[in-house]
Amino acid sequence: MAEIRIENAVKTFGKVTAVDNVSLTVHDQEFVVLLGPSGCGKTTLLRAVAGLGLVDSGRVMIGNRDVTYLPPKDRGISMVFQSYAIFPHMKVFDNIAFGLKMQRMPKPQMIARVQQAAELLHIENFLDRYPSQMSGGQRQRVAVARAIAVQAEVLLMDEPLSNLDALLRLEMRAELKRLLAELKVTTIYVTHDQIEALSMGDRIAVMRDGKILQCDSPSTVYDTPTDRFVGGFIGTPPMNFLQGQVRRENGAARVFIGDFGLIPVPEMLDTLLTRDGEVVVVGIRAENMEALNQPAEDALQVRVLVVEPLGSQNLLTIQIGSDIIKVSTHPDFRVAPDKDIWIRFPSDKIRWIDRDSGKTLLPAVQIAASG
Amino acid sequence: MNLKKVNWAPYLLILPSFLYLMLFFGWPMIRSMELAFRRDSQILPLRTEPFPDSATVGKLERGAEVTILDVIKSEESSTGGLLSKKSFWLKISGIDVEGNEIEGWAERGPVFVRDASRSEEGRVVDSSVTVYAEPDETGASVGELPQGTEVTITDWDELEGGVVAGGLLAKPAQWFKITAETADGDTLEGWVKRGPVFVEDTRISTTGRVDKGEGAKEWTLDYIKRMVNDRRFTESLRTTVLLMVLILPVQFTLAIIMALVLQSRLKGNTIFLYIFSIPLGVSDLAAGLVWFSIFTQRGFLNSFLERLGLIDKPYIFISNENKQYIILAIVLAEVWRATSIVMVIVVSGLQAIPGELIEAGQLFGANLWQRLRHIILPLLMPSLQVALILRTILAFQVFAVVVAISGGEVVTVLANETYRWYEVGTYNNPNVAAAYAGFIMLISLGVAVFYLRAVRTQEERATQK
Repeated sequence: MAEIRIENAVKTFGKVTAVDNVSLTVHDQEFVVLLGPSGCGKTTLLRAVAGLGLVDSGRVMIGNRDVTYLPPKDRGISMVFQSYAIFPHMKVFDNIAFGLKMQRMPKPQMIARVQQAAELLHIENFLDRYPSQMSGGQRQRVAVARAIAVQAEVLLMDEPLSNLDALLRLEMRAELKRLLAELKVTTIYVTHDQIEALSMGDRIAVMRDGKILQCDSPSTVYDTPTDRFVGGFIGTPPMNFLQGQVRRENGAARVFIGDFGLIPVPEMLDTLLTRDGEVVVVGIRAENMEALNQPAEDALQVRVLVVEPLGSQNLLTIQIGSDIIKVSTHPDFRVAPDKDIWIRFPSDKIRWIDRDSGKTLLPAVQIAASG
Repeated sequence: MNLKKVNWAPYLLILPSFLYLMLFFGWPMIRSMELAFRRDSQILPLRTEPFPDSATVGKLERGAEVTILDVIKSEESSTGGLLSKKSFWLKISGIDVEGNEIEGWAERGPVFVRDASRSEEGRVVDSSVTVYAEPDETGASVGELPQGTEVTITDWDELEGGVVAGGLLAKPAQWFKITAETADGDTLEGWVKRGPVFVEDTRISTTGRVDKGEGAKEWTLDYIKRMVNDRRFTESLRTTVLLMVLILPVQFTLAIIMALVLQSRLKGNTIFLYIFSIPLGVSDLAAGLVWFSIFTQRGFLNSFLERLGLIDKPYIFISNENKQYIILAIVLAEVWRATSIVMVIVVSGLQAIPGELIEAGQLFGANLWQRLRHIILPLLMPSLQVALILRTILAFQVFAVVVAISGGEVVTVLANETYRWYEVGTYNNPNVAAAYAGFIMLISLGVAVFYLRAVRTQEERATQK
């Protein structure tokens, strides 16, 4: 049982606040990804959990134990470093066995553990080699094997795949996911790669400027970002944002992009009505729009700027007013640049965002419930 | 061969430096090493018997100091009967070209008896001798003295190019001014040529010097043998190695600790860096003098101990009997002076170790000592290797500090011996000095190669398989 609880953690470097009053709970055996652009404080937060950098205030609890000021070795954790940090002067075996040796584990047991870890990572044939004789991917495996050999209940990973090439990253991603599911350890995984985060995490904590903006399951974070930043950071291409003006029409709220009125889902009507006449940001993902070759009543006529055939989809770049958006279509959808098409906005896929705060507007019911 | 494929640019670029090295480094180097193996002077063979044909005992080099034990007159003709003349043979002892003490006979000619002028008692050993008014054979004669007459030598003179035996051998002739009592009881005063007058005091233990010998230009190992047989050779080698063994471990331990202190980013660690680096700017002679002044009779150490009340009167640390204190002072001076250069190398090595490796060590449960032992030191090996080679080679060359503290007499080291053999005031033998210098170079080279092979990291060994 190793639940990680971070309570009001603050860490400053001089005048810069790297971690700004962050609280996060990672449940036992859960895989939480800290996702954010570089400099958002995700690594600092991880190091605070690891004990490699102490927080200025707040608490770090691991398995109901206050470990805020404990040295790393007493926290019952293990870690995979961004640059692997495997010891170049030790053979692979000694690298994997390092943590066990420091624990003074009896030799037969140690050998068994190393063997087991190496087999899980498919490097059992390289135990006699030095890291310099291995490829980047193999070194990565050594680093992971070393981390899992100690069988700690908590595994911390600091951008473990960022030094691998794209193909290898794809392969390791799946393998790590399988491995961690097998091992049932509590994991915090730091990355700036949103695909990694989406594909691996049980939950994703999106960070910016030392704060966690949203912490939810990958699908929730993807579909209903609570923040314009989250929507813009996650997804390839990122979420599209359009300026729309709220107007009351026949007693109901409509959001107008130019002359084209979007119809919000019924739950949102009350919320939007309070903003009559204001400009809100309309967020919608590229794949959620429907592109048509003929005009339709509920579709907006737009001009195509660029067509990018990507194999599985065609990515269209479209200008609407002053906003540039991306629309992804089926690869069979035939269109040429500078031609007009019509796009349909499904109501349930539209997110409404406050222009100034960047926060997603919530249905009035939900506000009342949470408030 | 396709000339177009050869890239000549690097060779052209390296050519000036190659020429430079050859001219200003290689050539003098070769010449000085040649000194150690090539004789270009004269040697005098010492013989078992006072005859030209008898077996040689050994060879004396020109300039060698000798002791004259005995003198006899020989009637043998010296050069194959052509010049039949009486010659004097000296029994002398001295250090031969290989550095061994030998004893044997040599004709008087080449041996210049230095102290003869001081001898006053003499005896006419020839059948009879003519006494001249002036030191000149063509001048007026004052009288004759028969064989066996006792004479007193009052003055002596050496004339350039005195002609002996019909002008065949031109050599400086020595004249003695003597007073003697004739058979009639009169006192006779005048000059005689040195030959016939045997100076009594020279019979026992008169020092001399080999003036000339047979010309010799040859390759020889004599100078090497001479060096090995030198009575200070073993001592200086032992002291050099002892100093190295005492200094290097202290130096490296201190340097690593200092580097770790600097690396730990404590507050004010730049001040540490400055303090640690001060000795870098002090010359070794100055460092030696500083520590000499600390250990000297009225030095800092004595006044400090006196003030503490531990001693009543100044203790003489630096004396012939207190070799261990001299060694201690040398060790302290060298540690003080040269640790910071090791530290600088170690600091640069430490900075090259990725922080994540040390953090990984920390994370996987290694304490400070284990991190040092299992991670930092192995990764520091290349730097330590460089520092070790540098410091060991410099340790073989230790000189100024030793001379400043011990005067180079009580405690001596290889470099000091090199200097002593070269110095005009002492041995004035550049050949043996060159042998010493070559020896220092050889062991430095050997140690460097040994370190490079022995201190290789495991990783290097594995990749070179």
